[in-house]
Amino acid sequence: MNKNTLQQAGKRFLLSEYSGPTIAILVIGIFLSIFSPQFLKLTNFINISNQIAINIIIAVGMTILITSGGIDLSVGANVALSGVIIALYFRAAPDGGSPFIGILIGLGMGMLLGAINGVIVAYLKAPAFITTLGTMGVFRGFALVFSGGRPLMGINTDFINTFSGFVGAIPKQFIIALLIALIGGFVLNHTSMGRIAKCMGGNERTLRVSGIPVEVYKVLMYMITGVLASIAGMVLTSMMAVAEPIAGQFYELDAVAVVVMGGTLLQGGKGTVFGTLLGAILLGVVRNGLNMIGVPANYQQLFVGLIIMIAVISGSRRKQAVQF
Amino acid sequence: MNTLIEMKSLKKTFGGIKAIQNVDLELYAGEVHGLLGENGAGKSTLMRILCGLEIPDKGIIKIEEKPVEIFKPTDAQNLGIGMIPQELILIDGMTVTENIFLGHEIESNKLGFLNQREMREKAMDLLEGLGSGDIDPDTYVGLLPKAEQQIVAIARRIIQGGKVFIMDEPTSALTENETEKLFTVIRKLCSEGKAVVFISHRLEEVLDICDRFTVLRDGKRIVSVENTDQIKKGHLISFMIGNEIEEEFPHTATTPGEKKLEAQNLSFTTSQGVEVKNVNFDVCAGEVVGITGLVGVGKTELAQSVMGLRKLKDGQILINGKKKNINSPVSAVKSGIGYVTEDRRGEGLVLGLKSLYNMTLSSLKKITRFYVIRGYHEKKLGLDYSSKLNMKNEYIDLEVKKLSGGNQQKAVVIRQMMGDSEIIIFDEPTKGIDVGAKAEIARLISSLSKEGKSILIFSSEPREILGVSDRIYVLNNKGFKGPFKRGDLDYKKLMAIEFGEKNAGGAQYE
Repeated sequence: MNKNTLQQAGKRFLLSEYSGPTIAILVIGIFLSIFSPQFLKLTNFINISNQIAINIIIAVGMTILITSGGIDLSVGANVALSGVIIALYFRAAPDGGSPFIGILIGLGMGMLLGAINGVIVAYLKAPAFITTLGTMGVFRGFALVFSGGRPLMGINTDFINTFSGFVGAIPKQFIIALLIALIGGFVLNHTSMGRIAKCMGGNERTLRVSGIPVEVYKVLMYMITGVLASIAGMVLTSMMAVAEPIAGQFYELDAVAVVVMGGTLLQGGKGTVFGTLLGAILLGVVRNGLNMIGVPANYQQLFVGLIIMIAVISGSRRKQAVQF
Repeated sequence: MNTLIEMKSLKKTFGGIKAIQNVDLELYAGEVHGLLGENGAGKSTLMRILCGLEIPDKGIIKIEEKPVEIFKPTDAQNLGIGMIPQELILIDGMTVTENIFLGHEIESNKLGFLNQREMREKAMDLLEGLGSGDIDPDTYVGLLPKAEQQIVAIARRIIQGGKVFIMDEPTSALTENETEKLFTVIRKLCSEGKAVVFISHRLEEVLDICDRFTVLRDGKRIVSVENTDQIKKGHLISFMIGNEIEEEFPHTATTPGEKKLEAQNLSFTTSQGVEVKNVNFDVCAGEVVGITGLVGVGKTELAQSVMGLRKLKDGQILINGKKKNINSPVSAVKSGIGYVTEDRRGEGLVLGLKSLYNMTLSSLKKITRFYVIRGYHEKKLGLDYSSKLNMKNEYIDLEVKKLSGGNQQKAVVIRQMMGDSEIIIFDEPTKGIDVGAKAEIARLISSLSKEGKSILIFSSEPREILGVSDRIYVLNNKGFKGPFKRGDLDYKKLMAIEFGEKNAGGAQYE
């Protein structure tokens, strides 16, 4: 490779949506490895991958949805409600239940909750933001009501082992998250569903006059998001071995944050799952690093918020630079 | 009469196209001035300049003999100039009084409390003065009929200190009674020394209300004359179209096949709320059928109704002789209808997406296996069609917003061709496209019909319609006329029908 093509590749990287999060991860990573001897250790990386898995799973669905011009704020509540329903099944089943049925129930819950959001947005034409803000309350409410407001124990052990534990040194939930990210990226870039998502976010009218059943696809996108949230719910329930009705709070905001940090346009039309993955890693590294270097808990929120703001602002500045 | 506004040698070019060239226009205090011309003659541009919505390349505007600078709408407003398109300046959810005094509220003290009573009384006086005392100052504007909304808009302009009132097609949505009411208001305004610019395609009304009128053609002023009894509708039409030499649009006649689409007794409502009834037309395989009429008469709405984008009030559509229930674009596309929209950028294209992706949007099934897009197939298909339409190969990988209007239009047409549409609806196909590309689009339409496709063109460009169509239907404000055979209509006859001239020529055949 000669100098020119290297320069070009460098330039293309800088202009791509991946440059911001990548540079940020590197800078923060270098900073942390200097100031904290623990940071570069394998156990710490395992730790980080453990922490970001759930965010990745939810954010992949959110990436597809936001690309299509939608948004779902009910995913956090979905995580809790799916977990609670599965726990109720395991507690009610006389023989402790089968993990297979538990998973089916979880996936079914995700589809159902996603479909509820989708139908309201697509057919009743309610704005997605407010709709899912409403269902967020409703889903959370059901989680509290069904669980009696208490954490539910008695989760099937095989079920727990499906979603947590290790393969070699790598946490299972991280493998699941990476698989989902791979599939999500493929769906967005190489399937008609992904193409339609991008068109829907870019110009919904065009899809409509082209004779594509926009409403059907809209519901499908919400269902994908719902299913991924319920998978996140199953992972979380397995990790804690207990279903918490108050679990998953603010997961929706973390997901939206990493989606936007990764370069997906909040108004839709352009989206990248790989960018989302980078965003999730960045957020994970920051959270981990703040602990590592001993930043007091009260200050951590502040820094996380600042990092998200910087990432998003630099992202939109880059977009302007590319456009003009 | 003293001159209120004088516009001198105004000039404005849009991307090489001269919208208006050296136009002069004088408005006298106390007159209703009719502004006439075909679509694209430059009326709107001229008025947009006066309102500060466009900045002229050259020219002077004087108000009461003093030169003024109008760079933005507020400049015009401060000088007392304003358009009356009610939907832009009224807020539906506020009362008549609130709307009239919006931005000019009367305060009862220094703290900014509103003096509701005084405003209400003044509003009533004002409406009374306009001969419309029956409008309740406390109702919400959104609940009023269109005509009364217009009067409220006028009242609002008066409060703002309006001297010149520009009304663009103010009567298009009004009934005859409402029109009469509006004319009373207009006459009242003029008796108080204000000037009204009246733009309308309804020539009877122009002859009825205007004291003088100016005719524009191709961006030039043709004539400014006083309205006298000697002037008839025919004069106005010939002023507007001049001695037209018909331009050649490439067209080769084809022998039409069997009937593909037949519309029976359609009725629909235009976006201005006018109901159009008894629309009957058909198109055969290999035939180009033009449906024309003036801007705003409801062509686009008709096209959208056929495409299932708008609800038909009545009537049915037959495809290949079978009745089809087309209630959405999904069912239209299933029935083999493709739609090339008028609003290419707003509706026809996903601007941020590659043009290739825009082309294959209606035929994803062709390029996927188990919903997975086969990139190689997609690209090959795109290249096949783009070279068929003389589109450069590298264009298919560009974002479609980077292409010229003509190439964007080709991308939309390719989508219909790939989707195997048997019937293709073109709505204003050459809008915003330069002259060279226009001829190319016309050729393209011709070649599509030669391949056996049925083409329906909805266009307000008479030359285009006359040039490419085998048969022509005309929609005017009295109803749906036609079909007229190619060759039976010339430019003058077509215009006469469009303007609703009685005893218009053109042999009608059944």
